[in-house]
Amino acid sequence: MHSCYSPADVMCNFASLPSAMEATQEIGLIIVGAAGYRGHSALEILPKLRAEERAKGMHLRLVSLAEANENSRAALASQAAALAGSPCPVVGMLSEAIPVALQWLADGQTRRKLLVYDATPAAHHYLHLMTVLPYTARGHIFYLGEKPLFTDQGQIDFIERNFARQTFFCELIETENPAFRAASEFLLSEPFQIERMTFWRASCMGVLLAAGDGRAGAEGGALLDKAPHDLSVSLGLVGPRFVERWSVTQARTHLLALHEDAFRLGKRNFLSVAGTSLSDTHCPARIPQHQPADALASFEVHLTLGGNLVVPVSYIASWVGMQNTPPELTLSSKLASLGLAPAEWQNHEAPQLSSNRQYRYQNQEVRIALIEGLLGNRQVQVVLNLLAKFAGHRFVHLIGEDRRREILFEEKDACDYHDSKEADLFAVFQRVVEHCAGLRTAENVATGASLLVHKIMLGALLKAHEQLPATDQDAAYRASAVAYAK
Amino acid sequence: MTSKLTEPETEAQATPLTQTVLPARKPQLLPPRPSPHEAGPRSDSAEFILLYLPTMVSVYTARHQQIPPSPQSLREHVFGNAHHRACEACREETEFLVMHQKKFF
Repeated sequence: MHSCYSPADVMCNFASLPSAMEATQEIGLIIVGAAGYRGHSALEILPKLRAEERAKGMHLRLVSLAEANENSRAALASQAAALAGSPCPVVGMLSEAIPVALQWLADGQTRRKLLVYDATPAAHHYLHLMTVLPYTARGHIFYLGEKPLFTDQGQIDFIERNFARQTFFCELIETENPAFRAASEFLLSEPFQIERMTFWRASCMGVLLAAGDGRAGAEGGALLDKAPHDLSVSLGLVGPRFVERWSVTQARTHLLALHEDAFRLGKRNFLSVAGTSLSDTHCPARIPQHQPADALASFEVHLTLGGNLVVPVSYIASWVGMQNTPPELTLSSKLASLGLAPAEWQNHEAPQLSSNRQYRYQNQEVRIALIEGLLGNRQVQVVLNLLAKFAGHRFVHLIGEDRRREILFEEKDACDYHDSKEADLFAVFQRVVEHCAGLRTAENVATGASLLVHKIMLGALLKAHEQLPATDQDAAYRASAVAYAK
Repeated sequence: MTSKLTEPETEAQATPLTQTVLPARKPQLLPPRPSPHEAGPRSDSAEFILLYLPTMVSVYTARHQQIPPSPQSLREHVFGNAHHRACEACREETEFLVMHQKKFF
């Protein structure tokens, strides 16, 4: 099945002038999931963000924090006061923060706007978006959520039918990665015609979860967790507004993710997208949260741009590091043929013991992209390394037919991963806040691009899962067990 | 990778899965319940207003592509009562998501 959308479907989201763009000088912020990994990062960037926006004549105010974990709430209140300069209410749920938001908006002498940043687990994003959207047009409350916003096609269908012209944002953080920004500027400034793109993003999150070391809230499997990033980068490079049609031409689940019970109890238990244990992947999932999570998936998309130009794009997403599947081997050999040594793009951490001291594993990560195309009449490749982790550093190299390299961007020293991530998160926040203030658009993370990323991702997931009922579950389990142990 | 999460049982090559079609989800209706108070939290409780209601809205809108007419009718749809059958799929997904949120309490 090909998932196709007409130009009108796609373009209307970009063409509309969102109410978010009406000018304002006062913007409030609510962070939901404030004590979690990303919520905490958002709090940390707040002082710098407030200072920079104040210099532009804008006042950013922390209006409320929501944190479901009762034990974390007390510490949050003092932390918020220290970082934001004044105390703010700390509540449990987003629904409790909405009245606080409405009161703050009503108290303004001039028009105020408010941004809700959702740093909760993926399973809660759509219900939080649905909580905020009814207030977007009337109340000027806007939603910014971590990816993925949508985990089921029905969620997207409902939003498109009922909130098609409302503005919301997905925190697609890689669109502020300096390697992406450098490549994007280069492609825009030069007569570059993209012919093909290939993306490979691998982490060992599946292994970490199975070993009991996973971050709370890390869910979804490789495709839902990883693919939105590379989809946002690929769409950002061609310009999301120029995508007239798209289709998922191929999708494959190479490996299914395993639940920690598979290792702890020796049971044939797969992992669901919501992090629960699944013993049977043949049975159709009665609820979307019971779909199996994939550990390694690949898919191919055709993006049709203006003038019927079709750009094939391939994606590999892994939660179990590198596994030598055919798409991985193809890209590896292509990179080798361009003179890229594995050490330039494969990132490893020294083997370590799990926190429960039961397992030993090595963390391995890849975030590489290869853009093939014509620069004038020259066949060239642009290689983006998007990962600054362990000993790796981010770069963008232009490679010609003679394998000579031109450095378009390169981080001189390997920077701290947390710092680089926080810098990119800061840039996303700044762009979204300034979109809401009417200063500039945040096209790569606003409604149109966010919907496009998720439609393609779910199209790929649906296509990949069409295979499941015919899978030999014992063989799939053994293959996954081998992959986890490699 | 050098993880030693389990002993390999067979071959090391990942096995690509073959294709077939996944059947569409069909919600089933449960028999009517004798009392509206038997299932789900009380409608005036904080748990219902803050946790169940937003969750039910999200589940119902994605599954049925409609805006629920009222919180009461939504509750009846999800949990059923003496006169209305519960929508099993909505109820199961609501309960799952509520439990999922409670994991973080």
